[in-house]
Amino acid sequence: MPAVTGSKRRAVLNRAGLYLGLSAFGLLMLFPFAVVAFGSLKTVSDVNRYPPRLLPATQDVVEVDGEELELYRIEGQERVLVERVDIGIFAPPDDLEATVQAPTRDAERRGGFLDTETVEVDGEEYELYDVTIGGELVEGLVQLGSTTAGIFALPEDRDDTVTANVRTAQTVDSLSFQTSNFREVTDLQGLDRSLTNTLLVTILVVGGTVLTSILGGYAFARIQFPGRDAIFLVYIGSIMVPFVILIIPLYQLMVALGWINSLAALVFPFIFNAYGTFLMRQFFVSIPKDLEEAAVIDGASRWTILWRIFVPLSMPAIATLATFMFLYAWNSFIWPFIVIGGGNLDNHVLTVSLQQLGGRAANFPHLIMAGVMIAIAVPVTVFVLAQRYFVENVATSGIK
Amino acid sequence: MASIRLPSFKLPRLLDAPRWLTLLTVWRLVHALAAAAALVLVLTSETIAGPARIAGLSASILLLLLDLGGFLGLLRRRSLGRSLSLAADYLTFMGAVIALLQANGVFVGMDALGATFGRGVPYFAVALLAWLLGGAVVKEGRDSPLTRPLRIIGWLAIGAGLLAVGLLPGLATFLARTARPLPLGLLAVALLSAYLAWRTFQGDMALELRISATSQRTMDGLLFVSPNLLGFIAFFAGPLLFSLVVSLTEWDAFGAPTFVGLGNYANILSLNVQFLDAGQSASAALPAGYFTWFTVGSMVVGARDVMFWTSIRNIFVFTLFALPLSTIPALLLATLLNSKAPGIKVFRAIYFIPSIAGVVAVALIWRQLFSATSGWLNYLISRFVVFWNGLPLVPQMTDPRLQWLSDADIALFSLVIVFSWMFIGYNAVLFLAGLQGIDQTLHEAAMLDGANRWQRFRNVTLPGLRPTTFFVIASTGILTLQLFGENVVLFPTTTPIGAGPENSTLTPVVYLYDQGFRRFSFGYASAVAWVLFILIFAFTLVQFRRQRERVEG
Repeated sequence: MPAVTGSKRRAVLNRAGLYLGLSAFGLLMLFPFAVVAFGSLKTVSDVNRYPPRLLPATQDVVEVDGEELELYRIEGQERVLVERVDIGIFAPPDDLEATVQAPTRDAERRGGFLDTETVEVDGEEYELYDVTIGGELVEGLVQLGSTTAGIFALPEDRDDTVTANVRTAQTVDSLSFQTSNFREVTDLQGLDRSLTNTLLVTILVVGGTVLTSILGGYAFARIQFPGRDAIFLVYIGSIMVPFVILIIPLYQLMVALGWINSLAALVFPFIFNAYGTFLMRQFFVSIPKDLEEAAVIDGASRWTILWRIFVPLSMPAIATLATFMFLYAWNSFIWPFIVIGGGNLDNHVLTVSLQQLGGRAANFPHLIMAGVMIAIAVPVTVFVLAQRYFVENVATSGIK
Repeated sequence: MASIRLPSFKLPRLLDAPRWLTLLTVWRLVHALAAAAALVLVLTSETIAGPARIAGLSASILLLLLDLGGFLGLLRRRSLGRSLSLAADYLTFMGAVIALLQANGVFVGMDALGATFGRGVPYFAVALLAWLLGGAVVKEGRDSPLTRPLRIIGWLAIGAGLLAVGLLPGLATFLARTARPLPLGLLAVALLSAYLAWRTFQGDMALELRISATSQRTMDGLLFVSPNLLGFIAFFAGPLLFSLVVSLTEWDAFGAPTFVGLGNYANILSLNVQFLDAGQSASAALPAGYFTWFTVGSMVVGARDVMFWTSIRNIFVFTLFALPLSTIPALLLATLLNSKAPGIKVFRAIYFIPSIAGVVAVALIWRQLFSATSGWLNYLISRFVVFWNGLPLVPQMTDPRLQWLSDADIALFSLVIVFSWMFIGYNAVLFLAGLQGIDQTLHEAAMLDGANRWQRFRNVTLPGLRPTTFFVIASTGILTLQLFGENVVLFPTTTPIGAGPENSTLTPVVYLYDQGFRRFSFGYASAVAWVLFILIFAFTLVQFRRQRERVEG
């Protein structure tokens, strides 16, 4: 009996450990996305704040006597900032350690602006001030630094004031989402146009690849002709060739065709895809021959057999290929960067726009993050939808 | 699933088979003359240069050979004559159609479509929705009463979308542009060749020439492969050969290339090792033309192209860290995922997301986290340091406040983090597929033998995963060796672009881009590409042989 409960406890512990591990990895994967998703809704000062915080927030404002004033929490009381005062840090020249603070407006420069009196302390020259401190005039001080103090009042009683350092004062914040960031970044970098361009290019690449791959894959799978296997071997070999080797010659080809800075350069070189042909061929080969024999006896042409029998049976493979090409076309960067990166903004696709945005809007991290969210929205949505579609479809192929 | 039905109409078969054969034989000669004229034109032309010249030469020579072969074959009534003749007419047809589209600016006109495409998107979305719903209502392969209306809605939405995008003005422009001499001529050639090919393809011609089944199958097969194959030649095989030729030249893309043989390769790869005497400077010890790559003790290694060797060093270090970091945690993750616990699919999907977000987005996300003043990474490290220093009996740490992207010692490792984070989940899913392919009875047998968890992992799981491991390591290695996007996004302002602080993230592809598109040394850049290709190939080969040896041993 104890052995059973022991193994049960162990199973529960195992399960708990499993979820702990999975969640830790999940956090690692999701947290950066969360930072950017919330960051895209922040103001720029909220993004640049240290220590960072996840949720977007802005400082609360309270209306007092028709004035909108920022809200702080000073010594446990919520107070509004009524006035900022520049504070000077002063000290007598003979003892720089004995500092006093006073508003700079209460300090008067000796000799005015024209012939300012100065004094040298430890090899450095200081201007001399006469400062009123607590109603008493103290003469001949030097200024060592400055800070900003705030006069904080109770919202319901403006006469009840406290003076405190503004920079270190705790602000009263509440959640606020700057949805206008998306509009702003769209206008700044023409992201709406990049989005439709990317959509157009992606649809054409996916459609074109699926079409040529179905045709080629069918021939490689079902039509026996001399030289076929040699051609197929070359196709498989070409999958191994890295794209970088084609950059220079393809670029020259685009120059010759006049396609530089044109969307055509992003579509046509990529719709004849050895990988897609290979994928479709492998799937077609696995389709039993007896399915098509009836159609052959009926005198159907190869064309009819392909579209009426093979294609409907191959939807899982087509979906796999389409998803693969979708991600490839949507996210491809190096080639668009080279071939259209220098041209006008109107022909840019999202990856190129984002890269340029990252370069020129370094001081607007909130806008960059909004741009990132726009760029990943479509692939993430498609992935979430297609993930289910895959799992369900792979299980239900044509023949059981 | 809507089936695609082609409209059926019958073209008239002009002439009977024997007469058509005679006509076709004569036509082959006419066509051969045209091809020869084109060949002469390309050879004598001054304006046709570069890829256009190569394409023109190879196309006209190919057509000429097909024509002459076809002519002889048809004359002797061989079936090969029909095949070659068909090929010549078909290729002429394809060439004329593409030239017509190019002459009318259809390809470049896609840019205008980009401007109006947004208007069609809602309609296309409706069509997609209708199509998805149509798939959802089909039960056990039988249509439901909803199937037909959904199909109609889908097609209507596509039609409306095309109209909204500007189909009609586009067609009008196309027709107007066709009414010029060159497009009209191309159109005529296309129509004529199409009819010739179609007529020759008909059954009576096959009977007349007693075409064998093999020959007919060959024609069918090539016809189906042809769109793919032609594109493959134009955009892959052709450029690949062109690149090899260009790598043997010095070429700035404006003038004519100068043949330099293996000169580019010699320049790239040349290394020289010297041992310094006391007090001797490195540059004095190296022969002329060599610059210091690195020194170890009194040994100095010089290279003619230090930038290239720096990029090799960087990519070596990068791969050394990024490859284990993006595969070993992935394997661990896959073993976690390989259980039947509820919710596992959600986790699998979450791990996959970084790889679908794309290089640019991922790099920009991390740029935010890397921020030295307000980034989460430095914040979390500070918190950890505070926590650590609060522990009893530990040496105190100082907060490092790392400059992730501007410190030359760290920048490359920042890239390692970005890359590994992006591909861990992807590799985990690959490993998971491999794990699920392992025979469960092996695990059970090992368990009966008393093997513990680690022993089972070591002796059953790992050997069973070998093909997957090979695939994961090879494909990840191919990606690391071609590192480029992350660099360009994270270091957009350095020169060369993407090279990072003090060239610390200069990779071979970054260097290739700089040579090709900033200095316009296309020959040199092509040679760099080939060296990189050989490096990648060698890497894959080594992995492949290691996998094979282990399986056999």
